[in-house]
Parts: sequence; structure tokens; C-alpha cells
Amino acid sequence: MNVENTQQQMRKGILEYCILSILKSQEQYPSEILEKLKEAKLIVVEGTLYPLLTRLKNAELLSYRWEESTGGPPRKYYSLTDSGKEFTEQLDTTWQELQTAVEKIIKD
Amino acid sequence: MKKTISVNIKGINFIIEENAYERLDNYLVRLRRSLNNQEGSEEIIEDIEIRIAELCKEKLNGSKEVVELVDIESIIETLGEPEEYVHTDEETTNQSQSHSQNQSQAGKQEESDAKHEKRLYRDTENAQIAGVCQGIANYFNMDVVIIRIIWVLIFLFGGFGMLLYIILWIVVPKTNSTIDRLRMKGKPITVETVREEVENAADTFRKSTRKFASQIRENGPYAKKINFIGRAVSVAFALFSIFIGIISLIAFLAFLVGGFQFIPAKTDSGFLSISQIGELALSSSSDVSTAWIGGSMLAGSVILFLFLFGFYILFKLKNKWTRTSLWLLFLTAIVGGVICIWLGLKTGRDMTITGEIKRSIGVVSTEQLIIESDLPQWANTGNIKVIAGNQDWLMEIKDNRIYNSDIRFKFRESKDSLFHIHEIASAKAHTMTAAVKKAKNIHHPMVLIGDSLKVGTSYDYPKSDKFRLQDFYVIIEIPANKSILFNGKLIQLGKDYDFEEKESENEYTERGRLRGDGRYEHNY
Repeated sequence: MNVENTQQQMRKGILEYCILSILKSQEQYPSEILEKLKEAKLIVVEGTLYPLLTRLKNAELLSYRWEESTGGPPRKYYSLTDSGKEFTEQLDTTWQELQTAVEKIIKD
Repeated sequence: MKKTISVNIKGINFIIEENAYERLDNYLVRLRRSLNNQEGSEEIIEDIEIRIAELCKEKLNGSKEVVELVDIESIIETLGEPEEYVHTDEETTNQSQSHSQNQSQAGKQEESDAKHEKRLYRDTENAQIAGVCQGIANYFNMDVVIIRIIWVLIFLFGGFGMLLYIILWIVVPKTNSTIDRLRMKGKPITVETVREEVENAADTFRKSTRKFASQIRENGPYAKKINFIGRAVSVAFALFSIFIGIISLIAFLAFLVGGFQFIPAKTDSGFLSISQIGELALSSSSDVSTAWIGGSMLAGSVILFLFLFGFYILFKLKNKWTRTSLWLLFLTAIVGGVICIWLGLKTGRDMTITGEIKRSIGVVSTEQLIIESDLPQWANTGNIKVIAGNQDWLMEIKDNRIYNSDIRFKFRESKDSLFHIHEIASAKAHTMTAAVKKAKNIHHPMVLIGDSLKVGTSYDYPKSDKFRLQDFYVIIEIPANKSILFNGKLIQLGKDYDFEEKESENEYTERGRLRGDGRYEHNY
């Protein structure tokens, strides 16, 4: 068992939650989401994001609309659907609980 | 100077170096393969293409106009290798789980009228030939690769697979409407799923028209159709190659295991096997081992070649490894073939010179010579009678001796008033002494008691002498006006048979003879 693997597993578990959280306040297109995730060092390679976005979209937690951009390819602006918002709120609670629980255990 | 090409990535035109384009194209091919038709894969690819376009745009700010290989390398590094981020198994299971959950929820909500019966359709959208396999895969919710492999196996064994495929091609309808596509996948037909499927179809349609447009630009208007026919032909070719491979394998195994009626000869343990024939024909045990090596190399590499060649075409594998492996097998086959030919020549050289031994059995003064033998059959070929003790077997191996039951009789006119009985044994080798020695080893039981001659049913020689065209015949000189009673059948000179002597054995380049009195004759 190596550390990198475990780290990856931990990151992966919360990645979907983070994507949903990023989209909570406003709609964004993948490059913006990528910027935030890379800044937070949650992903190493950009490719990771796309299967997740499609999955969340297929689960009807996300929806998107196309927008032309000047001098670049068209952009897909993603936003949370109603069920996505509900889902994210539930995850917020879970995350709070987990955080407290983990901190408590680490301290002891 | 480097060659550049103009490409359109998601509506943006780029000028890109040729090698950079190849690298990018290869990346997208691998991505598609990693995604392996999982749900939403087209969408993922599209998203990533958009990202590539964005990143290319970023690379080209300022005065730079051409996308170079380094740029593509860096973009790929940013995106990561498809194998790194596509986790097919896990995600597809997750999906199917969420799917079944959705379905069970839907089932609860809609109660009994949500009977979503599955139907078998040909899925032409994901077809390789006519979409039969993909349709079956959809029906059973299995990976299409497994169905295709099973199908290849059905093609190979029995041969009715091809027929079955054609029947299914004709009988099974292809999906035309959205409703059909839903039935194919066994989804419940509700307003919601129809809408979803219509959206998907619209999406695929949009993409395929775009793809088709680009194909027209790149490969001419009929590129798709030509591709389809070409693919069908190559699949048929691949299956044929594998089929021949399997037949050769079966033949080779049959040879190896023995008990294969290759030569009508038997041994203590049954039919003569290929390895026993080898031992009989080849001069030394080292030659036998060499023959095994050469033969296995030849047969093994040819069979493996046919299999690999078929599978490579079938699964569109084409890289330096596939090419190297085929070349290696080809060379192995050549080496094996050369070894076999060399052994053939070596063995052939061992049969160039004939040695012959003539023994006198006796001289009889009688009115009628009586020949008695257990030989059951005889046949007349001119002045030579072939007596076959056992017509079913060419030879028989017993107690380290080889028995041959073709006893031949030659009748000639005697120069005096006596019956003269001789036997002549001959064999071949690459030296005269060796040939004469082998001829001398030929043994045939024959005794003259009074005026009756008892003839054994077969002649034999030691197995260690090898099979060297050993031959044996009996010469009886019949005096004028006298006769022979052969197992009760009367034989008389000039009456039943034309006994005119014809020596037609001058074809040997060199021959020697050890006479009955011990004198040796060379080139007599």
C-alpha cells in the first residue's frame, strides 16, 4: 500500500462534492472549474474532470448550456439542477460531520 | 522545413505540424479506446476536444502561428494520459448500479404499467458488420467484445456461424425509432426516457453529420461506404486465416499424437505414428531430434502466424509489435523449412546406391515343383507375381524387425532340365558396402524339401537398418515341358504366362551383388 494511492483515493471521494460546491454560487465552464481544482491541488491531470462532469450530468445533478466565445471554441456552462442543489446541501451536512469526526479522532 | 496541416478543432482553425497532429490524433484514438463505448463517452471526448482547442489557442498567443509538437506534448501532459483518468470498470459498474436503482425507483413509481420488455434489435450505430453482436450485447447487457469473441468461436467450429449471422442479419430488425432503441436496452418507455433518447439521437446525429462532413473533406464522398466494405472483407479474411490455423493445428496434433493412419502400417502398439516413420526413415537419432525441431518450428510458426494474423486483422491491432511478431514467425518458418529440406536431402543421399544379394536356394530334378505357402493371395503383373500375405498392411513392425509381406516371384526359362531356385534381396544406402550389408540382413524363410518348396509369408530385416527401399524376390527357372503347382494352381512355361525376360532395372547408377558362392560383383 502506498501513500500516493491512498491520497488519490481520498481526493477522488471528495472531488465530486468539490465540483458541485464550485458550481453552487454560479454557472461555470470546465476551464474555470479546472483552474479552481488545480489551485486547490485536488487534481493532477485535467482529464480527470471530464468523465466526472458527464457522470454528474447523466445523474441529473448538473445541466449545461452552450455559449459562443470570442476567438475560442464554444463553451459549455455547467450549473446545478434543483436536485443537484438538494444533493449538494446533503453533502454539505455530511462533510461537516466528517470533518468534525476526523478532527476529533486525529486529536485523540 | 516542416510540413504543416490545417485542422479544425471544435470550430477553430489551427495550423499544426504534421507530427504534432499525429501525436494528437493518436491521443484521441487512445482516449476513445479507454472509454470503450461507456455511457457518455462521445460527450467526454467532445469536452476534451474543446479543452484541447482552448489550450492550443493559449499556446498561440503573440506572434506564434503554428502548433508544434512540444505544444501538443505539453497539452497532453496537462490533460494526462487517458489510461490515467479513465477508470472504465469502476465507473461503468457505478453507472449500472445507479441505473438499476433508477429503474427500480421508476418501477415503484409507475407500478404495473411499466413493463419494459426487451427486444432484440441490430444496433447499426455501433456496428462492426451489421450490428448483430452489438444488438445481442445490448439485449443481455454485456460487453460487446465478449459477444464478438464468442461469435468468432462459433464461426470457427461447425461453420454454421456464418449462416446464423446472415439469418440474424435478415431476421432481426434494425433499430429505426427511438422506441426501438429503448426496447433494445430494456428501458421503460416513458415520456422522460423518450426525451432523453431523442436528445441523445439528436446529439449523435449532429456529431455524425459533422464527422461525415469532415470525412467528405478528407477522404472523398464515399469514404464511409468503402470503409464498411473493406472492413467486411478484412473480417472475412481474418476469420478464414484463423479457420485454416485451426485446421492445421488439428492436423499437426493428429500427426504428433500418432494413431493417425498416415501410412498403412502397424506396430506392436497400433498404427505407425509420424515419429516412428521418422525413426524408420532418418539415419540417426540426432537426425530424428533435428527433424522434430525443424518440423515443430515450421508447423508451430505457420499455425501461430495464421492465428495472430487473423486476430490482428480482426481486432485492428497494428503496431510495431504485431509486425515484428509476424516477421519473426515468418523467419522461424523459413528456418524450420530449410532444416526439413536439408534432412530430406540427407536422407535421400542415403538411398542413392543399390546393394543386391543373390542366394541359391537349391536345384531340383523333378517333373513338377510343388510350392506351398500360407500366402493367401497373388496377383499377376507380367512375368512377376506379387504375393501379398496381408494386403491391408504395407509393413509391420514386431520385435525390432520390420516385416514386409510382398513376396514376388519371377519365372524364367531354365537353361538345362533342372529347376533352379534363387532369392534376391536388395537395399539402398549411400555406400556400396553399407547397401550390400543391409541387403544381407534381409531374411526370408524358405526351405526346399524333396521336390516341394515351402515359402514363408513375409521377409524381414532389422529395424536398425532403417527403411531403405528393401526389396525381395524369388527367381525360379523352369525347364521346358515341366510345370509348377503353386498352392494347387498349375503354372507352365509359355502357356499361362509370357515369361519373356525383361531386365528393366538398369535405372540404378551403381549396383553391386554378392553372389551365392560369396563372389562380389560390381556393376554387373
